[in-house]
Amino acid sequence: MIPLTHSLIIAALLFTLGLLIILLRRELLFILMGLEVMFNGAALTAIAAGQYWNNADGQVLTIFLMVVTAAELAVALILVWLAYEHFKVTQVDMLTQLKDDTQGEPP
Amino acid sequence: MYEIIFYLTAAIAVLAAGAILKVHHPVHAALYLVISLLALALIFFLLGAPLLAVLQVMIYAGAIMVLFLFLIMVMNLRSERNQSLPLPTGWKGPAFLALILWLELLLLLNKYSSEGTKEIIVIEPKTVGHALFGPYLLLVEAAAVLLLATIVAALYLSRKGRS
Repeated sequence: MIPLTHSLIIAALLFTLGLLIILLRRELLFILMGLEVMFNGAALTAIAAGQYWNNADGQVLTIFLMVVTAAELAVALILVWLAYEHFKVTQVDMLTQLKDDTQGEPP
Repeated sequence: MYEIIFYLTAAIAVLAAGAILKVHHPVHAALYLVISLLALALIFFLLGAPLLAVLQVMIYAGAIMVLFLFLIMVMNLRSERNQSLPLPTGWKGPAFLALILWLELLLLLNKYSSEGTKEIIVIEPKTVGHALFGPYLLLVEAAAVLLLATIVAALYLSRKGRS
């Protein structure tokens, strides 16, 4: 039997790696992939805890997590495609349409 | 034996996730992401959640990765490198990790049928289904509404003739 701590350590490692991918790779596609890795760390936490207490709730939670992830990705990928189509950018730092014009005069 | 397979699989999952940090091409990152998701499916199986292992392979490694690859194909990034396929450069790392995963699965299936597993407490899909359609029935309905809203949003965002 694997101790619960080890599963939680692996889940924390996955979550941290996903966060690092989001923070370091500034491309939109890589940000979504980092989100996937983070979601998987969370799912591993839920399943490991559910198995530890011999309870099906962890698996139910993970099923809902998968549904939410699939719904989020379907919309987010279309938005990435639209950003590429309209602005020809893949880096998230170049999407500055909503930013204030810091060079100009204050109104 | 069981512990060795578990920790090897965990190492593959973490290594493949870490490899996403340093690869350049999005297709290579998608390959490593598939390996990480498959390794995680094996971890779920080893922890005793066979239903979630199958769902992980079907939904994540199947449907969501197809979405990713389709988007990469549509966006056609790095068009200057289009002549050379990405296969000759970056397929060895993911293929090696996938080979290890496959060997582990063979070993596991052999052991599973022969001696059984007294150390894994398996929660059957039946139990999960009873929980899903018993106390969590309202959440299932909410998930259905969420999926409907996603379909509407996807159709709205991808319609033709947008100004």
